[in-house]
Amino acid sequence: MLGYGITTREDPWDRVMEYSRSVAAPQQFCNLYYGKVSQIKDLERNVKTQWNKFRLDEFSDKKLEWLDPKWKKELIDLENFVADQIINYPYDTIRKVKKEFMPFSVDNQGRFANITTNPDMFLDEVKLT
Amino acid sequence: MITKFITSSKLSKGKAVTQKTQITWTPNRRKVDLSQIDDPLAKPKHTLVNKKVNQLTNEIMADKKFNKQIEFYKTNNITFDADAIPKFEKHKLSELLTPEEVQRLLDHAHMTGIVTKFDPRLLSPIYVVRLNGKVELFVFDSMHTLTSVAVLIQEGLMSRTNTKTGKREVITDGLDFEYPCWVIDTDDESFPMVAALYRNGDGSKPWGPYDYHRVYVRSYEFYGNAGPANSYELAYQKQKLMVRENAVPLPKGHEDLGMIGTLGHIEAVSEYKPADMPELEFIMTTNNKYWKGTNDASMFGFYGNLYQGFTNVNQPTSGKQFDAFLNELHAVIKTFFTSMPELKSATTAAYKDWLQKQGKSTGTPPYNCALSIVLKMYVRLGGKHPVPSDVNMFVYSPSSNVKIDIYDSLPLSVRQDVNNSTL
Repeated sequence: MLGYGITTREDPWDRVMEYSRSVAAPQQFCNLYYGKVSQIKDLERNVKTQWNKFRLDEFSDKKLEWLDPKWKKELIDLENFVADQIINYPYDTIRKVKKEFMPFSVDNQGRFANITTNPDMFLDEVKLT
Repeated sequence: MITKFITSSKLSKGKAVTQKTQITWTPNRRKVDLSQIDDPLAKPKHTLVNKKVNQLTNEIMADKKFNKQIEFYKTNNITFDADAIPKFEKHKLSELLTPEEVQRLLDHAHMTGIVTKFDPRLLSPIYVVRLNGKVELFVFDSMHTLTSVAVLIQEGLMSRTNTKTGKREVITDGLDFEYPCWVIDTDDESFPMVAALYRNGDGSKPWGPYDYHRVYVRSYEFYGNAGPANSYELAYQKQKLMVRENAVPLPKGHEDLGMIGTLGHIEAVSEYKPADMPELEFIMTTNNKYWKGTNDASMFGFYGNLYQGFTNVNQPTSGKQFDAFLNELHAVIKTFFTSMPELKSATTAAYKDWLQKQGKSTGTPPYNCALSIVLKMYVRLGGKHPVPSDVNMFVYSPSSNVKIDIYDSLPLSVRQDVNNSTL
């Protein structure tokens, strides 16, 4: 199941643990994007509203941050949508965590402790594929 | 598999600021494709379908929640008595009683409205309950219809064709005039109240602002009906303006609502009178120019007050200098808040903090609050264009030497960035 979300906490490990605890199984983030709070919030809002149609509306009165498989949206579709938003809006502070640091899982607490002092080590510019 | 966005407010920290950073407007290059939106009002008349009943039943039976309810009935052999369906009968007006325990007070203004626009083709049946087969019928809905018909007949203002002579004649039956009623037979004395609640509450789905807009637009577009005081034509002009400016209005719950190029706030647009159309046009064109099809409700308050702030003092809202001013203003929004929705969030937080400093409870920011904040930033950043007087608002001054400006309720990081930047 493909989903998306946001965290404003220092370590995304807190968030992946929340997902994992609620389903009693280890979850992982396949992509991470990093940037200024207001830009990240706005980007997430754009995914939420523009892809509202594709969101799952099971188990809740509100649509969830999971994409309903019936729409057959693949990871690459979401990646391209996000990249298009970042490049063309543009969200000039948002960058993508390098592949070598992904996926991010419950075993990766503290992985990005130095990201603010050495962002280039962890982050790539976003590109359209 | 989750794509995650993590945030940091620290990106700009650590930069050694030796001189002020110049901020400029970065154009939005996102593409808007209105063809991807299923716009009900974009369909030409010849493509609109008169749905058959089976099309409706097929559609609703595909809904999981609805289907579950039907399956529940079937599983438990729960069936409904078709003999209990209300009956259509004609009754003398004098037989109809309006129980005080059920009905609202007779609304005199509403009555005047009904007879002013009276059209017998728009009358509905009177909804009544008949208890234990008695002659009296208890009206639980359409009291105003009943009263208006009774008055017009009593006053000799209704006529009909005599079926024997074929000639028109004034109705002289008085309250013996027989009127169509929708009759519910029951022995439950409380049923008139239940029925009234259902007719006016649970069982009804009131029209929303979009429904009115839809009918106004189509009345003018398909049949040339300009409507009372040209209101339908005005709705049509607004529809054309909205579509042109990448703000296709959609009803609440529409699957495509939220996509780039859609607008969910038709109620805001509906309020604009003919004399306000230049303001609406300014709002829509400016919003589209800078945000390319992202239509946040805050645009009406922000751009509306901006427009009024200039036009009220006979200052231009177009031209080279004004365009340059708009670019600078939007550079402020995009640099420090990213977008209109984020500006709205920051405004709400600042307004809350500002009120708390005054010992007041929180409330919704006034419509010009966001504009006032951005103008205060514009001035601090060295903006040279004249600005509306909203810039001086939201300053609390409990004594002559104390001023509490909402600007100081913005996050410290934002104010520091403003100090380190220039236009």
